[in-house]
Formats: sequence, C-alpha cells, structure tokens
Amino acid sequence: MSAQALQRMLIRVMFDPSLLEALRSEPEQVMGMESLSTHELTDLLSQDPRAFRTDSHRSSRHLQALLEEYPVSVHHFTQGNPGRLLSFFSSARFHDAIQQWTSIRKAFERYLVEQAPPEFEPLISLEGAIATSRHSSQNEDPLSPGHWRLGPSKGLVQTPSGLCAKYSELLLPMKETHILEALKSPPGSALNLSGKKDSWALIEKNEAGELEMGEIPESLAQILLEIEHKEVPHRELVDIIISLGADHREEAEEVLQSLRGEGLLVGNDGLGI
Amino acid sequence: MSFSQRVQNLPHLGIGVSTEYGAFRGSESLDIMALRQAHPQFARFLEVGVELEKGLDEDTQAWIEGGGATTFHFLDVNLDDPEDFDESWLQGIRETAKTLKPAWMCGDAGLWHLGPRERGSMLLLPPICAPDAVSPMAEGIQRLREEVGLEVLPENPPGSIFLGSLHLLDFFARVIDEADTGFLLDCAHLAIYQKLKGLAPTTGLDQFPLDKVIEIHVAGAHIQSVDGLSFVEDNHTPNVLPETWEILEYVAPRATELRATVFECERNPMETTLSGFQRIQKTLSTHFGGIK
Repeated sequence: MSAQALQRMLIRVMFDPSLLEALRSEPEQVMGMESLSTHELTDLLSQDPRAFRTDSHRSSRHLQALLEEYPVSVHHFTQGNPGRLLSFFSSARFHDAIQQWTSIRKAFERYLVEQAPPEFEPLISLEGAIATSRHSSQNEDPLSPGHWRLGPSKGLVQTPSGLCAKYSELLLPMKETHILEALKSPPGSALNLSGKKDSWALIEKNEAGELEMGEIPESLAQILLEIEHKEVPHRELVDIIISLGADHREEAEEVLQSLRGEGLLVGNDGLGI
Repeated sequence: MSFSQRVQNLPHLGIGVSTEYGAFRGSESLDIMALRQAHPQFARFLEVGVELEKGLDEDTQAWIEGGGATTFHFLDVNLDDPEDFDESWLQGIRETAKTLKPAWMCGDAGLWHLGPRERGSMLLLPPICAPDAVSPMAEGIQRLREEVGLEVLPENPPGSIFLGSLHLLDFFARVIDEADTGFLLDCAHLAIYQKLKGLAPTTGLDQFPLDKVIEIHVAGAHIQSVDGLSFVEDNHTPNVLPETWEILEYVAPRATELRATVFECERNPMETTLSGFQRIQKTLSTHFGGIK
C-alpha cells in the first residue's frame, strides 16, 4: 500500500529531519524508497522543511517513555546524560522499526545493546523482559484441547547468577527519586557487571499487577521455554518433563498439575478448562 | 440496515465537554460538576477520551455514577491497521463501553501509535489523504462497529503536515461512504488544515455530505512559529479562531442529522469558557434549542 509507505517515510523524516537531505540527493539509497512513487516523493519533498519541526519535543517525549523501560541500564550507561540517546531516532534501528512497523521499544533495546559495553547486555535483556511482562495482557486466544502454554504475563530471561537481586537493589533508589529525575545524575556506585549467563530469571505480573522476579532452576526454565511462544500438546510436554528428569509419567503429570496450580502454565485438558 | 436508517436511533445529546485521563485535575481545569450545576445546557454529556492502558479516571467514574451521558473517544487505535484489533484490546474496549454506556464511539482517524501499540509509541498524525488509504480506514471503522456494537464516527485529525492527493474532506467523504457511517467534524482541526493549505476555511464543505455530520468539535488554538513558519496549534483553550467559528456557522444549518457538539475546553476555568459555550449554543439553536 503506497499511502502506508508514504506515511512511514513521513514519520522517519519527522523524527530525523536529516533524512530529507538524503531523499533529495540520493533517494535510491534510502531504505523504503522502492515503495514510494515519484509523485509521493515529490509530495513529501515539496513540504516546507520547517513544518517537520513544529513539535520540537516529539523525540524527547518518546525517548522519556523508552528510558523508563530501561532505567538501570540507561543510568549506568549514560552516567547522567540520557539525552545522548536521542541519537536513537536517527539510527538504523529506529528507521528499520518504522519501515517494518515493529516494536519501537525492542528497536531501542537493540540500539542500547549495540551502544553500551558488552557487559551491559544481560542487564538490558533483563529490563527488556521486565518491560514485556509489565505490558503483556491476558492471552485471550482459546487454547486448543489437550494443549498447554505459558501462563499470562510471564517472562523468561537468561542472566548471570545474582543479577535479579542486584537489579532490584539498583532500581529501588531510582524509583524513590523518580526515574527520570534519577537519570539526570550519575549513579552513586559502579555496576560491576560480570559473569556468564548461568541462571534463569522468571518475571511474573501478580494479580495486583505488580512485577515479581526471581531465579528459577534450570529444569523448570527448560519446561517453560518449551511453551514460551507456542502451544504444546499434553503428551509432548509430558515427554519433555520426563526427558528433563521425571522418573515416570505419573511424576511428570504431577509436575504439570503443580505448575498449573502455581499459574506458571495454563492447560486445556479437553474438558473445557 | 444502512447508516441513514441507523442514525434515527442515535440520541440528541446537545452540547457537552471533552475529557481524557486526569484532564480535570489541573489547577486551572474545568469543574465539570460545577458546570453541570450552573449551566446544565453546556454539560449535557461528557466525551471521554480513553487510552486503555490508562483507563477511566475518578472524574469520569463520578460522572457515570451520577448518570451522566457519554460518548467514547478512542485514543489508541490505528483504524487502518487490522493488526491493531487484537482480542485483548477489543476486550478492554468492550468492558470500557459497558462501563461508559456511550451513545457512540468516535475518534481521530489517524495514526495513534508507531508500530505495535506500546508505551513510548503514542502520538497523533493525520492520515495520508490518498485514494488507496480509503478502504483500509473504512474497513477498520466497520470492524470496530461490528466488534463493539456501537456506531463509530471518524474524526478529522489535526496536523502540521498533510500529504496525499485528496483534499482532507474529499478523503473523509470517501471513507464514510465506504464505511457507511457518520462523521465527527472537528472545526478547529479543519481550520488548521485549510490554513496550512492556504485555502479558505470552508473550502470543500459544499461537496461534503454534511447530512452525515453527527457530532461537531469546537476548540481554541493559537498561532505558533518555527523559524519564521507560522502554524496553528490545537490547544483546547477557549480562544477559538475566527476561521473555526466560520466553519461552525457554515456547517450548523446544513448538518441536518447533528446530535452532539463538544466544546473542547476541559483544562480551563469555567468562567473563561462560558462565552464560547454561549456562542456555540446560539449558532446551534435550531438543533439543540429544544434540549432541556
């Protein structure tokens, strides 16, 4: 749809006016140009360039919302200067997300991972998983009879051991100050991130809508990973649990019912559940 | 049943006020209950702007509990994007509608968010006014109407850049024809558009099906500039531009099916809004003169 292509190009120009120059001088080099007609490009370029800048706070507003999703990572990476991340809006990650119409937050997460030192990656991934759980809603899609899937608002992420506890410690004072205020000053202590990802963290939104997280055993993580993004038939899941150490089918069935009781899994046993 | 038949079931609401989450909580904000008590003819209904993630605020809850009439203004759906109608969002919309019991749904038919609906992606941009953008928008309106069981009236959004080969009114005439629905004409937004395009305020209205205008918005604005380029910002103050009044005065006698008019002034003290309400009332006296 051509109007859609024009709208996406317009958005990219509004957030990154430097794109206008590229569209004028080397349009064939600009991602997404192949979907625009000559007439549409002319329509875009004939606008007064000042009209793209009528909302001088547009990028800052969007950045603020993104910063609040990655507070600890941004705090320690930018050392009191989160405004430097406005560069996201002229990055390939942002342009690609608009062009593909995919998550801006996830594009920002990837941008952060690329910009920050490598040791930040587990922390950024943890905050990304937290954001996903925070904003997830009840999956209303009916579950096929005899199938299982991960319970609603749950997230799994591989982290270095101890990161969850450390993260909570670092976040608490930021929340007390208000996150955007806290980001304006360098953090009081060094992050000292190190260690390989040897642990799994489970993030859950409880009934009150509050997030809880903690490390879980590898075997449980393996079960949950199998059903994280898909429905799995009952028999297949029982086999997985046996392969992960259950002694027999009865024990695997008990594990399943126990996980269901804790809300970690939801299942449709064919009786309308 | 066609819209021309369905419209007969829509109530005559009269003049009302808009709100969104927390809008009445500013130090200068309108006291909606005080307005209703002192000037009930200006607070016949509340147009509730809803972003599902935020929900309904205390003032809206109080209005509903007091039996006040409402309309439901969405703030978070890209009508032209089928992916936006996920079951979770639809379920939230249905539940909100159950609480509000609105006369209908309405909202700016533009781009409310970038990519999937999520925190940090919210904004409002007008549609590309091109022939190929008509059907996706019309299909979204029909889908929402069917999913929620309420009439859905698209509104012309504000903007600082409007692209596409069609005049805004021509675009929306095609949309409402294809979606078989009515229209919410925002006079202030139209004034912004006409000024940006260097057109007279009422350009294109003679060709627009004004009998499809079910609701009208009137709002204040102010002229701003960026590097010498002046543009109009829709700021919901009581300072209504002359061009906006001109549009209202043109449309009023021709909008034969008009049911409701909103004065968007929710963040202003009551005394500063009264002359605006009075002028709207006078202009629309043939429509709402009989509503008590």
